[in-house]
Amino acid sequence: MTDTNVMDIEGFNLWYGDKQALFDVAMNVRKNKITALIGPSGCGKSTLLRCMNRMNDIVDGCRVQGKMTYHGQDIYERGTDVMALRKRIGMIFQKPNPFPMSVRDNITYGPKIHGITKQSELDEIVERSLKQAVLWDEVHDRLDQSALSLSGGQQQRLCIARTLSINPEVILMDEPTSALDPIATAKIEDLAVELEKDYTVVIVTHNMQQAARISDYTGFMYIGRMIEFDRTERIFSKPSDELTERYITGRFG
Amino acid sequence: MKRLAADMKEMTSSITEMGELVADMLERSVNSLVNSDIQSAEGVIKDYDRVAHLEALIEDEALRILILYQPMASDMRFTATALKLITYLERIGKYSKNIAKAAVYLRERPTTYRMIDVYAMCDVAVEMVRGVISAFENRNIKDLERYAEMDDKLDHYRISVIEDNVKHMRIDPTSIEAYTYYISVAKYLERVGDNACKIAEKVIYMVSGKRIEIDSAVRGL
Repeated sequence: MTDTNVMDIEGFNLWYGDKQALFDVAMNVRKNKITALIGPSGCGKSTLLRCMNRMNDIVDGCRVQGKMTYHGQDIYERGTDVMALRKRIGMIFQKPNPFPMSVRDNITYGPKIHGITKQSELDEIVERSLKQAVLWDEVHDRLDQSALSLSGGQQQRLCIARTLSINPEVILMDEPTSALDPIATAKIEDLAVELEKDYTVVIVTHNMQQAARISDYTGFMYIGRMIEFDRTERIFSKPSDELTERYITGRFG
Repeated sequence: MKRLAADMKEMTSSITEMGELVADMLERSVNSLVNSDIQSAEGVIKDYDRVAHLEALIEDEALRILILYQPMASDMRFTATALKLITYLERIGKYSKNIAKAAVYLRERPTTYRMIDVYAMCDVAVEMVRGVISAFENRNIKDLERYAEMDDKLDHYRISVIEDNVKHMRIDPTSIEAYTYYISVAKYLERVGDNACKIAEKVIYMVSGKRIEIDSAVRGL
């Protein structure tokens, strides 16, 4: 495993109030790779993902302990600029959540907040982001229509384009295709693989075939623990742990 | 997934059936050669159709499993192994058929060659085929360690079959054609051993996930 790590997680614990949800989790996120997190509902995979750009900060009574670093910098350190962190580590959710505004404004919203005002520069960002999200050909002639008029799959790619508009390094995806039909799902999967060249992706998915198809590394979680973390190929052909084997062959419970 | 488990169980028994059939055909083909038993030889030739039929049937079933369940981990290794195994087993069936054809041919052309080494090769080859089928069926790879050694044995016997027949050719040039048939039979039996070794490698992969190569030490002829 010679790839460079973008994030290192070690001995990481998380509590929601009195209830511990993550136990001694260890894993790495490698640069320009797709890392998938799989496991049954409630295993903590989305919780872990949301820790990576401190989305759990907004959950009442959420407390963490342990090491989670981004380029060697502890992201839970006092004084971390959370806004700057989220600019570098963007997130895509299960349900597409475009802003109720035009396609163009969805993309320029972030860059404007970060101080970009020049129209030509904004136009460039709109085109580049939409092209990277493989949406440009479908929407370039209706940039001023409401984003809500797009199909579900297009909305999800718009959300990805919106994330790309502020030049993140890491994109976290929380079950990005579970609300989409198979054709839209295939497009998002192709897109994720395409993005891998320039970005680092961490994806939570319930679809094991999806994890097997697109990811380079896979972590299997169960009741708050990282049971096995390895190269995807290894996880799906010869997992080391009996629990992983039982989960991915559907012999669970 | 209970249905996948049931389908895999059924496929295991189909492959076991196919394996036992080809091991049986192999044994009968050499017996028919040694005993000049035309009827038995023709039975083997006919049984090959059943082998081809089973191969197609199991292949369809394996493809159906891949499409329906997209198996992972040990299930994936099982299905992939099944697909490879039937190819090797079909080859063994074909070699048995070829030996049976040689038996039919040689019946009309008796020679002075005594087939002791051919018979010994048959024993080893049949044991190897039965062994891998049992290993596959029971997912027990313990006995497969000896396969490189057994394969070497076949190679040595084959060399001695060639040497013996070349001697006979010198003494009895009128039967040269018949002697080449014995050499071919030895070649078929040696190839059966190679195919059994390939099956052993695949079964080891299926059970342990490890890819190993069972390599014969004998080179050349």
